[in-house]
Amino acid sequence: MLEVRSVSHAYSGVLVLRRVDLQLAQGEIRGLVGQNGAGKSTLIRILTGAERLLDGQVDIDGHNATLESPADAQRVGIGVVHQDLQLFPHLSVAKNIFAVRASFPRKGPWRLIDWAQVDAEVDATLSSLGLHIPVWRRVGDLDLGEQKLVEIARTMMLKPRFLILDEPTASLEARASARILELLLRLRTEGVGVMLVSHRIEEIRRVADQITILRDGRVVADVPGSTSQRELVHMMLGEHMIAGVSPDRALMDVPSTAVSVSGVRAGGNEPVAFEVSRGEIFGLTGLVGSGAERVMRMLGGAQPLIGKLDVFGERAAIGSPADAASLGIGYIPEDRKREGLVPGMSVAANISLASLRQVSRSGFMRAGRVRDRAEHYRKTFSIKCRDINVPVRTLSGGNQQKVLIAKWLSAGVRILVVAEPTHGVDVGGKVQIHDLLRDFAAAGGTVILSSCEAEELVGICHRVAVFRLGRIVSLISVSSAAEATDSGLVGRLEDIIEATHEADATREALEIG
Amino acid sequence: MASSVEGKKRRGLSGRFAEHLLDAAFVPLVVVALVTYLSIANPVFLTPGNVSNLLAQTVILALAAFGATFVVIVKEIDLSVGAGTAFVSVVAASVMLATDSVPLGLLVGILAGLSIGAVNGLLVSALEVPSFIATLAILVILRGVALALTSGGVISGLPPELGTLSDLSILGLPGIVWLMLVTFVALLVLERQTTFGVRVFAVGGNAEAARLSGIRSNRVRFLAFMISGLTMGLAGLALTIRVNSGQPNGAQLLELYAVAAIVMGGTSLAGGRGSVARTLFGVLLIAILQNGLTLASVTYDIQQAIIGVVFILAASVEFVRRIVRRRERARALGSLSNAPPAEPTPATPSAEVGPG
Repeated sequence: MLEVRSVSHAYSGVLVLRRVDLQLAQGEIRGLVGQNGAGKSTLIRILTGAERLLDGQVDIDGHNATLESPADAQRVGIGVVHQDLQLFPHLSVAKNIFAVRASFPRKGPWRLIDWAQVDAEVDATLSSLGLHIPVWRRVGDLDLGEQKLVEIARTMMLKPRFLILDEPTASLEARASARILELLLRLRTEGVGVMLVSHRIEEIRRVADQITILRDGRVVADVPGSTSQRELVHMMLGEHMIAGVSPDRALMDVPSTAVSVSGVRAGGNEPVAFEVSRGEIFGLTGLVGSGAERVMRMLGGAQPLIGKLDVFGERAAIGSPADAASLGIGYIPEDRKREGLVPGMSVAANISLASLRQVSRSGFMRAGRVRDRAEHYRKTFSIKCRDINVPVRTLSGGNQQKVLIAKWLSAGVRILVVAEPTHGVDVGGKVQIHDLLRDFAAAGGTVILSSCEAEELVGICHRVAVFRLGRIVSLISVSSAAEATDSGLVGRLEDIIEATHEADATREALEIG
Repeated sequence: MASSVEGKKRRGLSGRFAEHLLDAAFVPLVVVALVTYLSIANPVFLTPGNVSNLLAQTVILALAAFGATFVVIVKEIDLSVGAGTAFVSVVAASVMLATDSVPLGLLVGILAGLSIGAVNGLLVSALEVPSFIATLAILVILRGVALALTSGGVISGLPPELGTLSDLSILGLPGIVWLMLVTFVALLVLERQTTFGVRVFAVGGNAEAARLSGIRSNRVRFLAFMISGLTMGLAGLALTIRVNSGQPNGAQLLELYAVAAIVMGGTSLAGGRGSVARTLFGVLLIAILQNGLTLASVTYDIQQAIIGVVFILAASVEFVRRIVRRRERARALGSLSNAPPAEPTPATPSAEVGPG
């Protein structure tokens, strides 16, 4: 039994954990949910020795455990799988997994490392977890889901009694997530105590025995895994109400075409073509490699656009992000931290990055303008930060996304191309970001977004294009709020995405056969 | 409640002040302490002659390091500044000797510096050669060419006008010191007040994010190398003026001292963070240390070893900073959790603070 007792913690004078109590028994899966900033990450960091315990204590089997370093956590039997992959992409699966061990098997008079033995041991570990991944494969060649499985296997190599997973399925599609969840269920039967942290409440409900809800650094509830999603979300948000899907999906009376794409190669044999009107929110979806993401990157200029493109009726060419920006297209990539923000720069500077011309005169910055614009967006977008001069990396995921939207609106773009607008954003932030995108479209802007969440697509898009093998296989209109609230559409969209997957699997099987 | 909020603010401020002491203000404070100590310990130190001599010695390192600071902020490195300075000195002196015109020599020297910057910039931004390799290669080439041009000797017998330039003194300071100060102010304005300055920090802080914001990252990188080329041109001219000759063997190891001054000042090799102002203090620290040690009749070889030790100490400041930060946090927590429990906070996302 792992027991967290009255643990409190603070960052720069702000309490992020307030007398938190929590138990994790062996052979149990415990879900940990809460909005960004609720204190989940801090709690994990403390339990894994990444953060010093300042107040309170952690007991294992009734004995006070010292957790001053990650090595301490390993020693007392706590294993962790972090949200970001911590693998060595150029090394084999076997080397990656064995890397956590203190010593390697050796043989012969020269005491050379016995690589065959390493492979055999790793293979044994993998099969004991029900995984069939060739141990000699380069980890960088595996897909994301398999990489995550390798990471879990690596942690299990040390035989921890308690396993903590931070958003293990965050960037995975349904099929890969399911494999991870299966593995967790298997670990439970083997007597491992599993703590699962995730924004995907549906997944947590599927596997967890108990769910702990954190809000503002406090444990607000400890409920059985069968609790309804609605109740869970309510407890996470407290009094904050969740807005539903947008009520009105009517387009402007006289639609005018904002973007028209044709003859674009997205990886398939046939070219892709579609048109998006002013005021429309157009969704792209599909599995990894379906071509949806590639079309997004082309429109944003992240990779050169090959094919025909008309923007507001004029022929245009995009060879770089700067070209896209000069056409009035703002691109917000999926990986905010790595591609969207300059983490060490202030909120105000990040907002000004795409509109440097507007906030300067003959090359000289006008500090007043930078500040006024940043303050304006901070207020209207309710960006939560101490002030606009703090580094943008200190903001939560949702607020960072708002900064990126502000950056492009400040540059006066008419078209927003947003990949996974609410990836890694908590429930409350999601609603606010959806509202921002809706407002932008309602004011005559055009939004092209990609998402792998059927609910999100149905919730805000006018039309959704489903991609498969580099072409559009289905184009769905979400005409009315009534239809959108009817969750049948969500299910239908999920079915279509899933069906494309089945088709892919069959095709692969046929090709191999 | 109000008083506890105020208390929090005070702590926050004092914490920030402590951070500041260990960050931007640290090297300047060390410089001030060193100056105070030396002026008490050695009566010669603050004499006008020594101060002016010290500053004149600083000029070449300072100029080269100022430009290279921009390169480091965009997360690249320029190892060619030492060889470039010597090369510019040789080129400028050769032109003066051949044409008997000092202004023409100075002009060609600056152009030579800019050309080196352009070559470095093109190698790095257009051909995508890692800057460490590209500028190392240019270093080797330029030293070779500078020696070949002069057959290994010094170019002397330059026009007498150059001598007047060397002797030039304004308000008691040599002309080249003024050159350094003007360059410093110009680059500081470029860094702090222009869109280019913002772009430099954006590209160094996250090149991909900058690119996707419509910033032409490669052009920014190229221009950073051009600035380094310009200041290496100025450094080469300062060298020529100071010793009244072309020096193919001058500015030895200047590139390493420049990197040391930049990093000691507090510009991050990881990019996106730093300032020419910080570099100025890094340069002053090295120069004053050298000067103080010379006045104390410490030999040159021992001086080098001592300066090496100071580099290490300067790099350890980050370690101390971490400890202070951790203590601050523990203390803040202690007083916060002893405070009466706050009433239930409104559950709107406005309660969302701190790293989640």
